[in-house]
Amino acid sequence: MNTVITGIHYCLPEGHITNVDLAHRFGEKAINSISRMSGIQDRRVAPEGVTAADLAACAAERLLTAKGIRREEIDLVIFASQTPDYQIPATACVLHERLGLGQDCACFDINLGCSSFPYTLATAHGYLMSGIAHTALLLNGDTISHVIHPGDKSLATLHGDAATATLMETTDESGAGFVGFRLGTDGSGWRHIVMPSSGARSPRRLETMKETVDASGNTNSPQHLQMNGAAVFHFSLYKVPEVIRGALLACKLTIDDIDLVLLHQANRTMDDMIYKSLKVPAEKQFYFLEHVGNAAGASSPMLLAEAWRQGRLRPGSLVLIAAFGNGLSWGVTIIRWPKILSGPVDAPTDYLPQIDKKA
Amino acid sequence: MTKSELYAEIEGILDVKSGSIRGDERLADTGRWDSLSAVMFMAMASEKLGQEISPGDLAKCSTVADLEALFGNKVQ
Repeated sequence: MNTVITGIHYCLPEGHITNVDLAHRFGEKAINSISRMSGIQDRRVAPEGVTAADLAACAAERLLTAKGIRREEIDLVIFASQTPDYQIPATACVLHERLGLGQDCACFDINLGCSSFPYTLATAHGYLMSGIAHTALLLNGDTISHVIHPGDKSLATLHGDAATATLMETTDESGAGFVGFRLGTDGSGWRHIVMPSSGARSPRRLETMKETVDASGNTNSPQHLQMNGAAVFHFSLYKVPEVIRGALLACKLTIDDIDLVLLHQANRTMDDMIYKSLKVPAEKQFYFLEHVGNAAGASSPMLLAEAWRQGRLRPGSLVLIAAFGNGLSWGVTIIRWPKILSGPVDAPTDYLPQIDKKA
Repeated sequence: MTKSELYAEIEGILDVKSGSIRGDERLADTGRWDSLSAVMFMAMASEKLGQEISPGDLAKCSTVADLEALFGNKVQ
């Protein structure tokens, strides 16, 4: 027995921030440099009042309907986000009501960002394999644009908002499913991506709204997301390939065995360099960030959804997913794509604010 | 890599006129050295010279000559 992904869908907010928009804010020269580095031309952003939970509910509704899943069948919901609706209760519980799920359903949040997809997959895999749950709904997403200062060029130019819904179930198909997981953390790097005044350690006060401008001209405050770009780049460039090599070795595989290598869509240059370090040939690479930006925790599942939709995954394909981000944390998983699925997910949904909200 | 090739790379990263870098410039005084430049420099070092440059290495550099010194005899 193993577990498989039986469906993925994603939802994008209706707003856009293009490089033209950003050039008005930061200057054309600066944006051209960043865009060459990042490979990003446009980012989808949610307006005020639209949250990651809204986008996730939208994706989940579409997915459950498309797959003909009865609401009572879902017995595990994991909402992975760092922009939850509330600190208390878990947003997964709020979504439980919105999606009309049955009460025999475990719901909880995971507080991780860009690295979250392998963690949610691994957690659900454990629940399903142990029999604690039978049909898992994983919701990954962030409205990260809401916690980025508009004057922070280093982050405002990278990130977009999105949310995904992924279904997981058990399978008896021989060979299909998860080949392995490798999850890890370097806690010494927690300061490199942080929102200093966002919790109990440093509650929000008038003083934490105070804005400062750093040596690179980025405006920020303790209530906004902050990133040490050089440290994160170094981590991504050197630690991530090492972790991927370790995951392959643990599964007694090499890059030659893998059909598709999917990397968290942090930025194009960084991913190019990771692919190069691992000697991943072009036909095994796949990108999806030019028009959606770095979508934080939604990035990897969205990438998988698009790869599936565009025919890059076939029955029996061996796909490696590597996601990495704040913590600093990382997760790698290798999946043998099943033969039994009905087909790829259809086109993504654009979130419309007129959709009724129950919370 | 030659010194002039390295300086050409640095000119590209700082987006300054070709041939304008002498080596004694203080990075802070160029008005162009920022977090993005640091990342681009690290990427260039890895791609073109196969050298790992850490954020700690960069933090110790205050001039273009300091950046050059990071490469030792890989730049001549």
